[in-house]
Amino acid sequence: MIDLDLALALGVLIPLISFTFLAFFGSKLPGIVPDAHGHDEHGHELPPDHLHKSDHSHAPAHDAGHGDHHHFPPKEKKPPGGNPLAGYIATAAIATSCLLATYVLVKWVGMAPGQRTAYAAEMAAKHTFHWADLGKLNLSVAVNLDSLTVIMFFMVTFVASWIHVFSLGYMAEDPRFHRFFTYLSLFCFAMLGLLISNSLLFLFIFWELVGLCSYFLIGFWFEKKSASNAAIKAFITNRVGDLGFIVGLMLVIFYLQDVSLAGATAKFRALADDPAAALFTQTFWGVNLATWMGIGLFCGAVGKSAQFPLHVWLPDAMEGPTPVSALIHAATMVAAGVYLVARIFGLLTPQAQFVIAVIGCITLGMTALIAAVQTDIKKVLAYSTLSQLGYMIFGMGVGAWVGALFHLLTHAFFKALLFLGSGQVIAGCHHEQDMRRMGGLRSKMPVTCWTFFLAVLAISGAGIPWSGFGIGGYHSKDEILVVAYHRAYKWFDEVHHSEHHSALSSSEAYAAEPAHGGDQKDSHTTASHGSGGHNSLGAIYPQVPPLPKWMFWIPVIIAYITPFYMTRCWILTFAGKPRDEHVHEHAHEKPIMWVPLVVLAIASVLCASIPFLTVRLLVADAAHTPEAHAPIDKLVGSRVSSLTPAVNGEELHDAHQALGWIVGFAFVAGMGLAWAIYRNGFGFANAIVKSNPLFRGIHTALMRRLYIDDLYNLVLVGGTHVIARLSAFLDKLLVDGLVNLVAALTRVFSSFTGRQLDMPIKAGDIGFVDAIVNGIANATRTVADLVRRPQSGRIRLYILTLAGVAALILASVAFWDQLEALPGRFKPADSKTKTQLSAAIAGGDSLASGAHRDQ
Amino acid sequence: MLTVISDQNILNWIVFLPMIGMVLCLAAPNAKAVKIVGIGTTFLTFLLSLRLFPPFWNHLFGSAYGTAESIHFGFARDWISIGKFNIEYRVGLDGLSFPMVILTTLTSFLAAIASWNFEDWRVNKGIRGYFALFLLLETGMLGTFVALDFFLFYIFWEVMLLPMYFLIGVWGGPRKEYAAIKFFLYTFLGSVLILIALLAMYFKASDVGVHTFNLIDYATNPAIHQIFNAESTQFLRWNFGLAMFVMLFIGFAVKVPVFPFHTWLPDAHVEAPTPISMILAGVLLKLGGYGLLRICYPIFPAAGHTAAYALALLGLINIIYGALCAMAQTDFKRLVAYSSVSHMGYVLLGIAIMTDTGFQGAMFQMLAHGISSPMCFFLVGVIYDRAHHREINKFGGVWLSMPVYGSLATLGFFASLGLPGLCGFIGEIWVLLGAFNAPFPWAKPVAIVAAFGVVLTAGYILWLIQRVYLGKEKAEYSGFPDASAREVFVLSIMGALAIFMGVLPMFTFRLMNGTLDNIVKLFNS
Repeated sequence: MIDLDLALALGVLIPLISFTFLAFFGSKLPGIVPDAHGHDEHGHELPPDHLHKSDHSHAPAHDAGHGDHHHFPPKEKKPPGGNPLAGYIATAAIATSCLLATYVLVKWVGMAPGQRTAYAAEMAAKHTFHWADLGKLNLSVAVNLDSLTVIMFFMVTFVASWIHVFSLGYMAEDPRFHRFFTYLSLFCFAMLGLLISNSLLFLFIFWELVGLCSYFLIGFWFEKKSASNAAIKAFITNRVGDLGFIVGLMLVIFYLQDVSLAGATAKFRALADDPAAALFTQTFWGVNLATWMGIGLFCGAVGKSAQFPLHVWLPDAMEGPTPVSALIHAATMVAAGVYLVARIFGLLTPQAQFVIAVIGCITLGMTALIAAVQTDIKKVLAYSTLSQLGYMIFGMGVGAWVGALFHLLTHAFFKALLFLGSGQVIAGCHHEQDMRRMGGLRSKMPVTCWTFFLAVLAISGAGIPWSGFGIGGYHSKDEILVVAYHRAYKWFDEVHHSEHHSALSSSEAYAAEPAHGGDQKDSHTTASHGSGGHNSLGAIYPQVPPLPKWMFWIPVIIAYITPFYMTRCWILTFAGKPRDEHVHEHAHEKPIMWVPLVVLAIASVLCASIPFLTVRLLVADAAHTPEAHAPIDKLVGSRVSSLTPAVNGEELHDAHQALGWIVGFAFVAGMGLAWAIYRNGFGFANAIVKSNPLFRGIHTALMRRLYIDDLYNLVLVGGTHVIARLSAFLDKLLVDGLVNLVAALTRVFSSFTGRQLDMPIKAGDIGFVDAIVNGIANATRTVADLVRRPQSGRIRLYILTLAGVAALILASVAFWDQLEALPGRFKPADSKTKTQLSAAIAGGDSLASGAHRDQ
Repeated sequence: MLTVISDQNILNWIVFLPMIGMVLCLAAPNAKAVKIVGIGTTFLTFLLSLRLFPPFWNHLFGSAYGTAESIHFGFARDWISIGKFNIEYRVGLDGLSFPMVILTTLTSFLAAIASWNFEDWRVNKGIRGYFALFLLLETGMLGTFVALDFFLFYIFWEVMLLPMYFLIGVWGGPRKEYAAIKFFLYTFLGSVLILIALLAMYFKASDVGVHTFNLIDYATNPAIHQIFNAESTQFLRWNFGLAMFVMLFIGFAVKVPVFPFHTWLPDAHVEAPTPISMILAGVLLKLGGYGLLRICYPIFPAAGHTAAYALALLGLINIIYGALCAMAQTDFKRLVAYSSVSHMGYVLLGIAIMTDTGFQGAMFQMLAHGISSPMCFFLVGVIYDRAHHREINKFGGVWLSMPVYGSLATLGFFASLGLPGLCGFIGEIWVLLGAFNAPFPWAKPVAIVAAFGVVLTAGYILWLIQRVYLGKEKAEYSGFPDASAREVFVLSIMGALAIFMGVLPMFTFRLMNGTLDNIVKLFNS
């Protein structure tokens, strides 16, 4: 059978083929006639005004001038509505990839863990492609085959397939239907490519490509200024993050001399044991370069996973079609940042890890608060995505490697479900996104309503504490919090233990060092190597500080707020009485759109549940890297290759017990509060806000996104534009002005010399020389005229002259052989004899040598 | 027989074939015939240049290094020998010049096709003169790239100058005279400095008994190398090597163009007709970088080392300052011109750091810019032909009225933006990574600041795309016909190359890596 890595590579290429095909032929596919839409095979005939209406809500700007449409010349009139063939091709492509992914997943799960590593190594040796050389550094490409890739690949293809199906319904009326699926295919290619990349450089390449697709899809309805603005914002914000990534990459290449994930990690690990390694001893602003490297690489994740301070693009990205929000801005691409941190985990120092935890903590707290006041259904989901991504990043930062990735996977299912549900609502309500005009939709959209509710339960972490039963986020979020709890409250014990351990072994290790060398990596150590930050592995753990307690409590508080704002969203949309009769009246759902909802709902429930623990198991398996021969400690360091602690949350039973009390019932509290406040719509909530100026202030600040966007627009965007204008102004005034000044001065000078000294042009000019050599001056003037002003009439003369000269050159060169052959004419010497010749005549008579040649 | 094209004389054929075409152009009976002769000649030249591939092709699949060191297709004859002056007609190809020759023949061919709608231009008289000068320009460019004798190099360098002057000055826009004279004076200033260096180097080499203008000898002859780079060698009481290096650098910097010698470029581009802009951006700018790599660095490595900081700083200014200036432009073509300034900054930075990675990146960036920049200028030309203006802020929604053109434009501008998977990325990232790894104390901060260029570039290009291609369809542009077959042909060739170079850079690198390694070896010996 096909090798697994090639199967994955094929799974990446199939969407690319689909993209290429659609890019060239998408618009030329045999189309359907416009009125075929009325007879939509999926029932639910569209109301006659639907098309018109939806078109307008895509581009509200059109509302201003209704006449715009009628200016189109006939050639531009395209049949409204898409060509389903394009959609089918793209869907078939990703479905094929999903089948391949399933095949790989089944095979992979069938292997014993040890066997997997050996198999992956064998495949990597077999299929490596030399891509380019960076200086002398060989850059090669191979598929990164491990448990994480396999499970992520499956998740992405699975979610993407169902989102494609959903999009067939959602985008049916769009005039650029084929282009939508073209972009989706490109995105799938890039995202899957990112997952199989085995080097930082290729991660970066695909990283940018997913960003590109995100740009295209956010700006899909680019007639809207807000959409194209959002697209630009997303791309540029990501580029700022990528800037940090490039700097990190520079450090990696300079100090580690390897861009492959495994190679760089191993090298980093080896350098950590070297007391003289510049990476650890050199500092910049008091922080060692290894930490800067980790922070730099993490900047990429900050951009892509929209963490504070680069989180501003994601809410705006909701301008894109809702399936895009589900696929790219919830399930896959934004989670790529977390995936990246997981991949570079071995390159992080404890300090860098702490920075990651802080960023994650800020993001998850701030955005959850903003989510609680949003009235646009997609904005609520966007901020909730930010908050959940914050949880994942925070998880990485506290060392919950497994927990964070587990949360990534469960989140992908339930957040895709939430977005698709909102998409169903939006499509059903004629592209109405404002929850203030919804309400009471449960009777019109029962499937959407209850699948959405399931997803709300999943994101809230609903489950029965201590029983092990829960859906979706219950297990995964819990695991992150468990590790945080452990780091905040139990870490001292661990540290003490570890210090004790290393103190004991250090004297031994020093003695053993000459003999054993590198074999003793895990045990030989000293307690501290001073402030430089260098330390060998065993001694790193004492350096890792316990987590500040507030960094445990913020996520816990947010765990209460999450069910609140999600339930609020559900109540305002589906429960209660309809607030807008018009919207409610036309609401409907289509099977092609609710079937994916059901599938994803089942997936979100099962992905974390006991009988389907494959997800968790594979992620946990991925935590064991090839270098991890023997864990130092049962609790600390399932990922021994890194300097940072990775804690396996499963094993922390005490913490689990404690967490049951702390957040086990958070979902009940949060959902209950939401029910209490919002069950009758906005009235009560508005009253609360109005009751107190403080509440009003907080509410306004949250509505204004804490003024961060305003600040960026003013300072960064405005500042850049000002500097740009200034540069252009200086360029024109100063640089070019200088040039023109020199030219002008020269002209003045030449006019003086020309007219006063040389020859008179106007009456009163002296023309000193002219009087002496009038004729010569005239000749000069003729030539000067020729050069000064190109005139068509003289060009021919000029060209002919030049051509004649050139023809002579050409002839003399081309006929050289013949001329040579003539006896006694030329004596061309080859370079060797010529050199001898010139050496011979070096001091001699030049005329003689000339004569010699001319003979 | 003369008619037989052999390995010995193929370079002569390639260089002078456009000149034959030039004569035919002047003799052609009508405008259409002129165009056919012009395009046919450039196409034949391009085909002929493809015959140069075999020796370089071998490196593609063989070992990557150290095999492209010898000069291929060499041809040398004594040319002018008066007194001690010993000027040769010496041409040849190595990994430095070969990709440039292909780039030149291809760009010329595409630019000739872009000239097909000559009748619709603002100045549409004198088509014979136009194509004749165009072909003469091609001869000049090709000759400069293949020349291995400094004097011959200089002659071809000057041969390029005048046709360009006339092409801008006669067939240009409203301010053509100003632009043409500015271009001429700037370049001529550079040429004069090159001429001085040329003579000084010749006489200095004569001091050790070698009367030659042979560039390869200058670089590899130990005696010459010694006297050129010695501390004690003087030129007008300056260090000889440094003085020569600086003069040559200024000469080439004008062409690159390096800040502060860059202001001729926006004016020349704005006034020049589209095909001439393509040539200007695609080939002429590369001559500066090529000159640095061919002459300055192999012959004066010590001076290169001394000047490295200044050059890297200038490269950095080009990158950032060019991008900032581009952001503020409202004229479409001026914006693309400033983006050239920014992109060529990477070339200068890559060269300045004198490492193999830097040279690889600089060469690649030159080729990548040679693809993406003419593409962008052609894209501007396509829309200018329809709208007859270039005000960015007046455009909008062009993608809706011209979907094929819009898609190709996006490809072109993203190639220029340096998107991974397209050609611009490789050159930039190679230069940035190379700069960070360079053995100079200032290299790391310079590289990090230069990396800010990627954000600025994304800024101005995306903003440009938004203002021109996105947005609501405007009534005045909705009737525009989509790109014609001719335009699609030109754009897709460049687009395909942009993708090919970005996805499989190895094939491009291997054409030149051997030679670049040899140059780097000269520094270390």
